[in-house]
Amino acid sequence: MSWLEKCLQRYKPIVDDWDAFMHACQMPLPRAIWHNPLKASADDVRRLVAARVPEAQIIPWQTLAWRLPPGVKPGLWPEYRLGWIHGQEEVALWAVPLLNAQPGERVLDLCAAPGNKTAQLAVAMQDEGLIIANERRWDRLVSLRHNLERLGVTSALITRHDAARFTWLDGTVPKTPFALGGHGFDKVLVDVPCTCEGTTRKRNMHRRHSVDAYRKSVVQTQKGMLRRALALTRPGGLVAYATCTFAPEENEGVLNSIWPHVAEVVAMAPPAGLRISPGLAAWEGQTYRDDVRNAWRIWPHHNNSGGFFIALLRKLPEPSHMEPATDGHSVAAGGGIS
Amino acid sequence: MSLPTKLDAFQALDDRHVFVITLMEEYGFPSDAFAGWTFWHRCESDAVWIARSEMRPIPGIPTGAFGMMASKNIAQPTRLSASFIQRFGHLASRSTITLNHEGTRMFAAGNRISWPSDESPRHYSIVIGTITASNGEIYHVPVGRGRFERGQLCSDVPKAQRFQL
Repeated sequence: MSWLEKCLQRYKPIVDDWDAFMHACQMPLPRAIWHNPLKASADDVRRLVAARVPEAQIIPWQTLAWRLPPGVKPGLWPEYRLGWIHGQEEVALWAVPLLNAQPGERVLDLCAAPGNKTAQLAVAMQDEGLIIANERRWDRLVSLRHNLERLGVTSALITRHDAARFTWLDGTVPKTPFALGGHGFDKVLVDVPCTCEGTTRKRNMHRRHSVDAYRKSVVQTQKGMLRRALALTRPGGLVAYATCTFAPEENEGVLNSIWPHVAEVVAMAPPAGLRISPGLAAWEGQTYRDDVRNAWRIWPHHNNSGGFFIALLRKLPEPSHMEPATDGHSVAAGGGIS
Repeated sequence: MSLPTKLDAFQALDDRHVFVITLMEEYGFPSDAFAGWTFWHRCESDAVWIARSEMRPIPGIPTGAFGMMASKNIAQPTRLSASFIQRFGHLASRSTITLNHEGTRMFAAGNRISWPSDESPRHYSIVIGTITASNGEIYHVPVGRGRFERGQLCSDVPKAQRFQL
């Protein structure tokens, strides 16, 4: 048994075709590119890509994106350097379209680097409105800024702050999931740090040390980020929660930690051609709230992609009275939400 | 290196600010070219940023970038960033140079091009490149800032944004 297989063995009960899954996890990941309408016309880019890579396949469920054959390196093309196109993992293209960001909205991207999804947001909003692109790590701010500038984005404010302690635009801190001291965001994207097991096709997992130990610590971080994201969202606003891991603790388990009266996981209709699996109802003895099944699990062997998990949550209106918590959730002293 | 966290770390420039006036006059941008955008001066670094008008700093949160950097120095409105030129350069009607494909190839790679001094009245120019694409189509694209120096046109395109034709 390979090291990778040992690593992923715990998911055998939830994978429909183990051999196909393991095979897919060890194959090189196809590259994908998308057109940037902020800098070039769709017709121009369509013709350029067709001339450069005739074998490039249009990705049917994206506005204008292509899957490239192995070995093609678009990062060296003039069109890439000029910001007419951008490269991104195909499966990761999904998070932003689900949010349906519109021009003029206020959108928060809590874990923004390297800026791929932030740029997608800016394109969806036609670079009109306000995007807060937050990244805590110094070393990742450089790639975030570079990508957004190359793609011609002017609507993004890049910030460096702890995502689980982010504030509203006026700098005030949410005290409860509903208290809107400032202005809530219309949409929030929470593409959290995770164990990245779904990226085995582009990274060597052998280099990762102690995934189990890291998972235990990162789950708390993920819960903190999602709760803060919901606290910063206006009632009726949407939060997209995404990871690139298979671990239910980091996916359904994090969604399950949200109070049902704070947000609901929205049902989403997958487009034709994209094969998704619903979120898990239970894992290792823990049963999750029913609407967690509305989340999408995207397995590598179903769409020749990386592994991905995404859920869309809608912030609910503040209830007229707060019922006492009976499920172990509590509002922490000092204003934090736990 | 620190990031600004205070509201007054950035100051909005109005339309009468010398930076904005000089920029418009030197490059001949139409009066409505930047409608919906605001230029901001980051006081600590002296850089000027262009951002959508809705944007404001968030009190207490360090700001890494405020939209797109337009110029590294408020005292040099003509010394525009390559990103700014690539986004807005097509709107300029003055102080622009159009290079042929070979010139663009040299310029985009960061090289110098011999340029008679009597044809280079200004220190900086917006350089429009001519790119013959792989399908034979010709595109005129703002590539970056050119700098005239001792009879040469020098490419100020940053290393990360250079490319090979």
